[in-house]
Amino acid sequence: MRTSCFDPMLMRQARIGRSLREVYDGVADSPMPDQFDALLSELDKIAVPERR
Amino acid sequence: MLLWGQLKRGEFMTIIQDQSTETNTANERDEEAVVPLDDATFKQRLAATIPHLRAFAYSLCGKMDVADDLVQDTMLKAWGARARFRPDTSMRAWTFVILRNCYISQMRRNKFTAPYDEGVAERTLTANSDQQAPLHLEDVRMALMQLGADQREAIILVGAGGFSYEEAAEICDCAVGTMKSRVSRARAALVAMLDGDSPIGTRRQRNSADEAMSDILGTLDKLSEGVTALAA
Repeated sequence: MRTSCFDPMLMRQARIGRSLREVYDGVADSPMPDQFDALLSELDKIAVPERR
Repeated sequence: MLLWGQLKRGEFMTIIQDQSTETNTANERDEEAVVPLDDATFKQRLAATIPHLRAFAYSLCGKMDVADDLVQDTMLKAWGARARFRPDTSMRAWTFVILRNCYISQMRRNKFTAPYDEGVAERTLTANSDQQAPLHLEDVRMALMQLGADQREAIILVGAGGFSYEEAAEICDCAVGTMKSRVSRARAALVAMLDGDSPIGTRRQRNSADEAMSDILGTLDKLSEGVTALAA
């Protein structure tokens, strides 16, 4: 017999959603390689043909 | 109200052309009104999106080194097209579209497959080991990489990236209903995988079964040793 008012499926989805955010944040919060700092400082000098 | 069936082909084309002309004029007016960001501000806002770009790229390709290359390409393309960025829109959404296009182009050009690399993920990602962690992140990552590409990007954008269905649909160039359906199917697939109805989830069960089988065989060995000893 269910004694909780929470839908088990919704609870599972909420847990998965939280874990997904942790996976995403795990990458987003990881140290950024130096290559990006170098690229940002070089952008002014890089001529890129506009194509999108 | 006009029914499409009542229109002759010529009338239909005229309506389309009129609408097209009106839309073009409106777009031209909009473009005139937009003042592009100066380079320094653009660069600052671009830099702020890098962590998100890396997370999205990783979720697409599953390899951190490939993801970083994708982000670099994206930054170069975004820089090249900076005059077309509208300051009143989301830089993150705009760069996500570019990154996604870069990824699709690479897929088509190289036909590379991006298998999930557990080793790279282990070295690159940091997972909290607190007791409150709801699921094993390793399992979630593996389950995520087993989803189809469409569903994976949908659930990452909406479920982790914080985009609305509308924004995610725009990034993925699909209808909002399609996006909702992809997210829903991805959620269901993840629940199934992580609850044990599919390979990821059954991994632990399989390990338990293997252990149980080892116990049984171990017990049989001991019994057979006893029998052998008695026979001797």
